[in-house]
Parts: sequence; C-alpha cells; structure tokens
Amino acid sequence: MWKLILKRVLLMIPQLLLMTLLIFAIAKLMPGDPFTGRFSPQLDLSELARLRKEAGLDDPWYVQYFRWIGNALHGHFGDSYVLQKPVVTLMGERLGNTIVLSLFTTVFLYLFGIPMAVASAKNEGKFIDRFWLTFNSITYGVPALVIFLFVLFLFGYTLQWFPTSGSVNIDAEGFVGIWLSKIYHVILPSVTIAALSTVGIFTYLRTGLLDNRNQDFVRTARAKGVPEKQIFWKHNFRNSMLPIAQNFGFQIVAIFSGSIFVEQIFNYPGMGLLYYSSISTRDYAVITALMLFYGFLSLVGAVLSDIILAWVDPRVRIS
Amino acid sequence: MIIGKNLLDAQDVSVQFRIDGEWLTAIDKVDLSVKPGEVLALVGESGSGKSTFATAVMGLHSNTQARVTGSIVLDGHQIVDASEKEMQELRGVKAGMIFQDPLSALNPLMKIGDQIIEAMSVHDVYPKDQWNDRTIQLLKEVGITKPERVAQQFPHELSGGMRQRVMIAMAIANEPDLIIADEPTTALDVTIQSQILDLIKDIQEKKNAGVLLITHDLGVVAEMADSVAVMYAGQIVENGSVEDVFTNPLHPYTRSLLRANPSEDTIGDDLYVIPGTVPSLAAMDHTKDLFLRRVPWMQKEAEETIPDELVEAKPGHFVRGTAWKTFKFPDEKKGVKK
Repeated sequence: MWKLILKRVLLMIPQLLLMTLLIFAIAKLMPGDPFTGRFSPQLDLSELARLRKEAGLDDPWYVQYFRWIGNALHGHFGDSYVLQKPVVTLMGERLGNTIVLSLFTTVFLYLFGIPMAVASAKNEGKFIDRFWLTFNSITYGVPALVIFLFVLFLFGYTLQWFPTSGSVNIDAEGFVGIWLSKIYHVILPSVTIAALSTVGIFTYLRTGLLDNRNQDFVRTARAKGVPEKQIFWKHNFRNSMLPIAQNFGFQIVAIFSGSIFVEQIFNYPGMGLLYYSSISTRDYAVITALMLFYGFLSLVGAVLSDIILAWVDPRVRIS
Repeated sequence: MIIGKNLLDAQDVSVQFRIDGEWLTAIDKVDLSVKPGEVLALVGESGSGKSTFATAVMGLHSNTQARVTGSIVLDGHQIVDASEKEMQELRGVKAGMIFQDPLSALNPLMKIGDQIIEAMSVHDVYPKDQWNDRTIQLLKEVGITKPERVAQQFPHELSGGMRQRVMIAMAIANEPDLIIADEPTTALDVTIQSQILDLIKDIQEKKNAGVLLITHDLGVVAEMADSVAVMYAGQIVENGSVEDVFTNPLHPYTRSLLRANPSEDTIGDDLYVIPGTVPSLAAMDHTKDLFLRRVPWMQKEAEETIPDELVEAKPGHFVRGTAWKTFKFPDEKKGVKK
C-alpha cells in the first residue's frame, strides 16, 4: 500500500513538469506582456524596452521558464498588476474560503446522492425511483445558472433566510462566532451546488446496485442463507460503492474548479472569483499561478482517487 | 410437513418464468428424489432446465419473475410455499450449494475467511467462539495446505481450483445433508476437475451427505453418481441407476448423448452430433416427446401426444414416452444395441 502511494506521488513529478511547460507556453502565447497598457502613450519606447529587458522578458524562453519554475519553487509567483499585491497573498486570503465552500459542497453532495440512489434502487420502477430519476434529469438538464439565480432570489432576497454575498459577517466576533458566520454563508451555495450535482453519483450507484443484485456473489450469499438486508449492505452496496469511491478525488477537483462559476454568482470571495476577475483584467501573474494551482489540484485528485481505490478494492492493491 | 426417507423429494415440480409478460414453462412436472448418501446426477444440454431445478430447490427464484409449483420437500420442509424467512433458515443448513464459476461466485472485496464465517454467522449451528477455528478446519478439510494464510486472502489471489475448494468449504460450513453442485468443474482446468470431483465425492462419503450433481459431462456422471436423471427441454426423459442407464440406455435422447460422447470404441470414427438445439421456452410443447423433433427419421412420432408419467421399463429404470421402443440409429443393425 505505501509502496503504491509512493509510486503514485513520484509519478506526479514528470506530470507536474509537463504541466508547467504547457502553462508557460500558454502564458507566452497570450498577446501582450505585463507592461502592455500600463504606461501612458507619452512614454518613450526605449524606456519601455529597458523595463522589458530589466524584467528579463528579452531572455530566451528556456531561461525565462527556469526562472519562473525556480521562483515558483520558492513560493514566488509575482505580483498582481491590478490588485498590487503578491499573488501568494491574494491566493492565501481566498483559498480558505474556497476550501470551506468545497468541503461543505462535497459533504452535502454525498449526503444527498447516496441515499437518493439507495432509495431508488430499492424501489426500482416505483414512484420514489421515478421521482429521483426525474429530479436528476432536471438538475442535469436545466442550466445551473437558472437555478442558482432562482435560489438566490427565493432564499436570499425574498425570504431573506441566507446572505446573498460575502463569506463572513463583518461584525462576527470570536472564533466560534466567525466560524458560525462562515458556515451560514456557505450553506446556501453548497447545498444548491450539491443538490444540482448528484446526477453522477446517483446514476453510478443506482446502476451498480441494480446490476450487482444479480451478480453471482450475491446469489452465493443468498444460498448461504444470508438475510436480504445484510446481502444488500454487505455485498451489494459495498461493491457498488467502488466507482463512487474511485471517483472521489476527481469529484473534489470538479467541485473546486466548479467554484469559479459559483463564486461569481453568489459573490463569494474565493479562488474562483479571483480567477474570474483575473481573466477579465488580464492579470497574467494571477492567471498562471491559478492555472498552476488548479492543474496541481487535478493531479492530486487523480492520486487521491488511485489511493482510495487501492484502499477499498483489494484487487488493485496487488497490481 | 411430510417426513419421508428421502432427503430431497420433488414431486410434480414446474417452474415458469415471466418473459415479456407471458408465463413460459421452463421445467415441466419433474419428479426427483435424493436419499441420504446418494449421488444423483442431473444431466442434459444447456437450456434443458438443470440449473432451474437446482435454483428451485434452494428457493432462489425471484417470486415476481418466476413461479414454482408442485412439491419440493427438503429434509421434511416444504419449500415451494415457504416464506423468505423460512427459506433463509433452510439455505446453507439443509442444503449447501456449489456454483459453476468460483471467481464470480465469491465476493471480491471480502476475505476468504470472512466469507466462510458469514455462512456460519447467519445460522445457529455453530456458536460464535468456534467460527474461527472451524473456518481453518474447513479449509483444511477441502485440501488447502495453508488454511491460516488463505483465510486472510482475497478471492483474486487464489487459483481457480483453490477458489472452488473455498466454495465447497463454504457450502459445507453448516454440515448440510444435501449438497447441490451446479456444474462444479465446468469453469476449471481439466487437470483440476478430477481433483475437485474427488473432493466432493470424498466429503459426500465422509458425511454420508446426499448430492445433487448437475453436469453435462457424462464422464463425470459415470465416475461420481449412483443414479442419473436425464433432462431435456425441462422434462425428465430417463431416470435410473447409473449402471442401468449407461449400459442399457432407453430414451432416444440418452442414447444420442451417449453416442455423441467419445469413447475407446469410437476412436477414428467421426463423432456423432445431435442435430439442432434445445427449443426456446416458447416453443416447448410438453405434451409431446420434444427430442424427437431433432431426430430426422422420427418426425411422425414427434407429433404424437404422450402421457406425462414416465414408464417403468425395468424395476427402478424409468423412461418417458414410447419412442424408445422403436428408436434406432440409421446405421444400426436390427437388434444390435449401441
């Protein structure tokens, strides 16, 4: 098991290198550079060229690349031109918020998706099953934006049960107070995202439960005289959870990157909002740093998925 | 209910499946019995209803998709109309079942030991403090050399033969009087097959258990069984001791099967092939001798309606229909039996 984890983590190094090359290439391909549009038209062009040279932008690409990597390894991602702060500081402020939002979303997602699928599979073809099938078709089919706005309008403006923006009340005091306020702020977005994203878990688990019902090992358990309830949880459910468990790492990544969109709508100051605004203002240093962050997250998600699968499925552990 | 001397007593058993809203008969009025210590082989082609019968004995047919009628008495307990709870108590205790493919029949996520213990944990035959020791002892009994190690392993870590040994250990965990083996060697290598058969025979003799052996391998029947029932299209066509049926086969189907089985006498000859296939459930008209449709020279007899009951041609040797009296292979000389 430890060997497998080590192997998987080591495998991340070449993947990371390849990713940095790609991100660097994309950044270089983007039109303009940090000085574009930042000086008045009266500025002497030779002065601009001097600044460019000073910033190392005239160096060959590989020199620039390794300088960037070297800086990144030391935690330096440059400064945001728009917000005039180091990128690391900007990310640090928002990372916590996004983590809170994503964790709550993840918990709600599994809390909704799993019982939904179990209820459906146990009542195949009956009303409950059709209800959840329809529910998932709708949440999958209707654009999330529409539902987000509706939820925001209903629970935020009309009923005023939940705040419509921000991550914490300005007057919250004390550790407990601040956290309660933070949780209060993430409930509406996290519950909404979770409720709209169950389709994957629901479909995988429901199909798995229905398929495994006729598997040979389930028949064996029945032939041993195992009661139906025990067969369902110990044999059917456990085996059906394999794809769900395996997908966990990717699911978390999807939720993190999904926040780009959600935070914009709920005006929640997380990484997603930062990413969104940095793209619209061409804040290159922030964009590349965030691309690196999200890319790294995907790699971690893949490793996490592999480790979880190895942990729950003995067949993977060996090979 | 009725307590007979038979371990398993099936009378007039029919099984129907619901397919596209229609009830189709897969097994028609089957009578079979297994005495303690007897090995009964149920033979026939794929699709003849052997496994359907075994599944009915275990009460494993879905009660919405299948309908079982008649009477199946297992060790004094009527199974046909038993509740799910009653069946749970009987399964594994009165009858243990060994399946065809031991890889798919074992839960891939559970350790071998845990799967055997589960069989004991759902019944009150052995107290909890004996489960662990008994698991090791069972694994030893089925010829596994490192039982402690195997108990901690997962199914995919074992060879096919080992897995089938584990299945057998699981089936006999609660010392059932009847062992149902549904093609126990079909998924195994030829070299392993005889080992597994020897093991089943060995256990059967040691425990004086009854065995219902389902197979399409006539060699297995000759080696293992005391009596044999030949099944075709959901009906028993011939039933008797292995000796009677093998030396003096009566029904055209039995005779064709034996003729299609390669033996020392037929070395160098073309292998006999029974033309056609078992009819689909919808095409089964159980009032006729269905096999005769596959005998080109007996098409007239194939249309005759025959009685349900088997005829006792010789004491203890039963055969269905009347065609056996006149049936001959085209190359067969008059009076010479193959």
